[in-house]
Amino acid sequence: MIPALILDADQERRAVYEQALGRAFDMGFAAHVEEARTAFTQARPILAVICVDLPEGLAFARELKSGPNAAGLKILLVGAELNAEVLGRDTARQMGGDDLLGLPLDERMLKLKVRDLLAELAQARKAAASEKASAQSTSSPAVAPEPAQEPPAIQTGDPLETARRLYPELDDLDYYTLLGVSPSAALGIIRKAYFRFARFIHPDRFAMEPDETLKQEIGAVFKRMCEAYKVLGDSDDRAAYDRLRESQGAKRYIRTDKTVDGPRAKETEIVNPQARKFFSLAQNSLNDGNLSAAKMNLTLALSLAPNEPVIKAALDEVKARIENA
Amino acid sequence: MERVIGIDLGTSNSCVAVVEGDHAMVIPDREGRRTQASVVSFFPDGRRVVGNEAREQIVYNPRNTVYSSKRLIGRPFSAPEVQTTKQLAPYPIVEGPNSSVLIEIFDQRYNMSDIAALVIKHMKKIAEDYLGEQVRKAVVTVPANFNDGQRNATKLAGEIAGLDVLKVLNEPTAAALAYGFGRSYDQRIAVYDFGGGTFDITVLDISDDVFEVVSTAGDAFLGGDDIDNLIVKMIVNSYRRHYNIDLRSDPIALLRVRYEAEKTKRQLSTEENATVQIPSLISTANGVVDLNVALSRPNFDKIAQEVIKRSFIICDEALKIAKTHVSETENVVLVGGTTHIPLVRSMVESYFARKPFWGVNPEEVVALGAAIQGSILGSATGRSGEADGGGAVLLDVTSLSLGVGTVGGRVETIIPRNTPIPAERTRIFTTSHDGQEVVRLRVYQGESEREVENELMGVVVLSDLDPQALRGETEIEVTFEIDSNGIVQAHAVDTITGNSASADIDIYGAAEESGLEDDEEPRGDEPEALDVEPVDADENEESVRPEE
Repeated sequence: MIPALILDADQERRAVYEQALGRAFDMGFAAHVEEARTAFTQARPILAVICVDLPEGLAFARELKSGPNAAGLKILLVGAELNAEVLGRDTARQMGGDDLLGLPLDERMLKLKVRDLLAELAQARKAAASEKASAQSTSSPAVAPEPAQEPPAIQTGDPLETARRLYPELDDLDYYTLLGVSPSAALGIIRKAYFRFARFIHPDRFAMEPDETLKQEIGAVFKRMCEAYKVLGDSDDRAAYDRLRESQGAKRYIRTDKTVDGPRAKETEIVNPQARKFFSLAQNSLNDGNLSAAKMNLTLALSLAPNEPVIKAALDEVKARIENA
Repeated sequence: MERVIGIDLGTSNSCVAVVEGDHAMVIPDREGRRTQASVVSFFPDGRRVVGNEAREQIVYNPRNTVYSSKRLIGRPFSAPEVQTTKQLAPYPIVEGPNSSVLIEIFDQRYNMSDIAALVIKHMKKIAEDYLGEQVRKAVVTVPANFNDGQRNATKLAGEIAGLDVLKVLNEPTAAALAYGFGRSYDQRIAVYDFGGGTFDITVLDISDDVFEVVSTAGDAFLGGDDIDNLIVKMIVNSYRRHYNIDLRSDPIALLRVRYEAEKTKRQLSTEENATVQIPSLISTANGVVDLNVALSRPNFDKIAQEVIKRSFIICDEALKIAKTHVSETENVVLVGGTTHIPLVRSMVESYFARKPFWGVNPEEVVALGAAIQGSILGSATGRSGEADGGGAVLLDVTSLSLGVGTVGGRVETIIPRNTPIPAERTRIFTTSHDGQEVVRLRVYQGESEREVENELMGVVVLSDLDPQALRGETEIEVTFEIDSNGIVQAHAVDTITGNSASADIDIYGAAEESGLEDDEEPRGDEPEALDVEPVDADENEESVRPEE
């Protein structure tokens, strides 16, 4: 998921953004400039949608455009006065953005504009990369745009080695440390980190590995990573996990309540009352450890209710126990 | 490097593929046929016929010919699907030990893994003939909604057939791999898999070499067979109305109708009109009656529509779980023979608002994906980094929730469906009465909260607990694990003593003995059998036969 920043205070428009961009982008919403600035430094988005009707909105756009990450960022300006049919992209550039869109927000137009902006960005990157490659011999400090969704620094090195190192301390690691991402990481970053490990340590990659210990250790680490991805990938679970992590230092998100293996309620499901009676007698025999009595009672129960899977299952169980004994 | 074949073991047809050089290809049999009927026919002298040549034996040798065995594999005898099949199928289905399903033919009892093994062996043989070398390793596919018991039984079948099964792969995931491997896609796709017996829909995100299953849903009781059944019903009704003949009174006649109805269905995928024609179908007081029922494409569509419509309810469900919308799926990959039906294609197109992917034959795409996965796994020692082994990774999910039966007949979910696998969850269980030495956990797979509505998968027995402990004093931490093949394991630790308790899963309905033990020398016996079979040589199923 690509990180994007939306600076817009309007709650109704938020739904339009979600609808249009929610699938492709991991969106951070900000209602005022201060919030947007923090979010920008954390998520390092490659797309910013800025509502210029907000005070300082336009100034913020210009601030980003003159910032260090400008080359890897596209800005779409939205505002009531911005008539996209009249004002061109030149106007947008003069204002400090890359394109503009009027209000009320049109979902389809929003999608199209964003798509075009991203295509431009990809092209610019490609060009910069090849320029860099050709310029390498002359060692000119090409200002290649820094890809914004690059995994954080902690994740460098061989994932296989990392995973092996993680194995002995697996139970002491929280999900973020395990995946090597910051606790404020956007879902897109988490996903990327998980995928990166998956490429190297998914059990399928060890199908022919003769070293069983290695397989088992790597398997355990990857299983925990799957768990981490599942929990962090669900906003409700992630919030609950974050609370546990902060308040109790929890490493994993597991249920600790106990399930009681209580008295079987199964007999109530048996329709035939006589069969039910023999079934419950069998249960008593079982509790007394009398297997042959249990078997007899269950056989009787089954003869009265021949198609009752509950009885059949119990009888099979008892027969198996007799054989084992 | 040793070759690994991919086998799509279907309800009606199976297909085998292999990677040659840098592309996957379907392996044809000697006659050039690219799929084989999943049918095994037995004869009194001990001979067997498997594959396309066995298909007609459904009609000529009904009592000893096993078809649609995929509907039975890995299920306990009491399962509704088994009971339904038992009523419809002319071959004898009996109950074996541990509620397993057995087929009894000529005093020999075969379990369902044995039957599947014969089909797998046949596919293996076709591959060996073609490749000119022995094959020892395979990837075998299963429907995404197969549970633990069904996966285990399928894996076992591969082993009985003499293959090391490197992976039990989900069919839709295999199809996605065949569609997207090596193509650097970055898109969300849907795999629409309409086979003979089951329907599955899977939403996947492909990002370059990572194939991530987002959601999957299916109906194990919805397939192309349902359309055949409706055609048969139509014919039965029309014969009752017009001739006052009840075809249902003659099981063999009914089988022949079914067989021809299926053929007519296939014909109508390419032709506008077809006729279900059977000479001397049934004898009545007034003499022998032929069957002759014309069916036009529009009339067929009217019949099939109701069945096809049901698939889109499942599609809605899968999209909802994935929190996505049809407009966000960038392609639809068709899988399964039923998707040959033009009406299926047009209904898929209108549901997803785009033309479905046409590139690979829907009856071959799964086997091709399995072969690709096989070739990746065959070289995967994992040590040499990303570039090694072709680098595709399948991030699959479990399609069925795993839960444990508790007090009051409710199932408590432990690993919900659509959890990425491998997955592991730990729960603490405690005893309900003093001195309890054994705790039995009934393990279910399914989506209902009520025990009776889910299929009992097995029982985890925690034994050797402290006999001195009072009720609730013993706490056992049970860890359930689903591996990347979708196969379930459990282990347990007594949290008070720290001892590990034994936690064996007794799989309910699992077969115990193979009926193929005396079958040490399988090579070569099947082709020989063909020469002496009462099979009309030019009547193979694949060619669409003109009316005789």
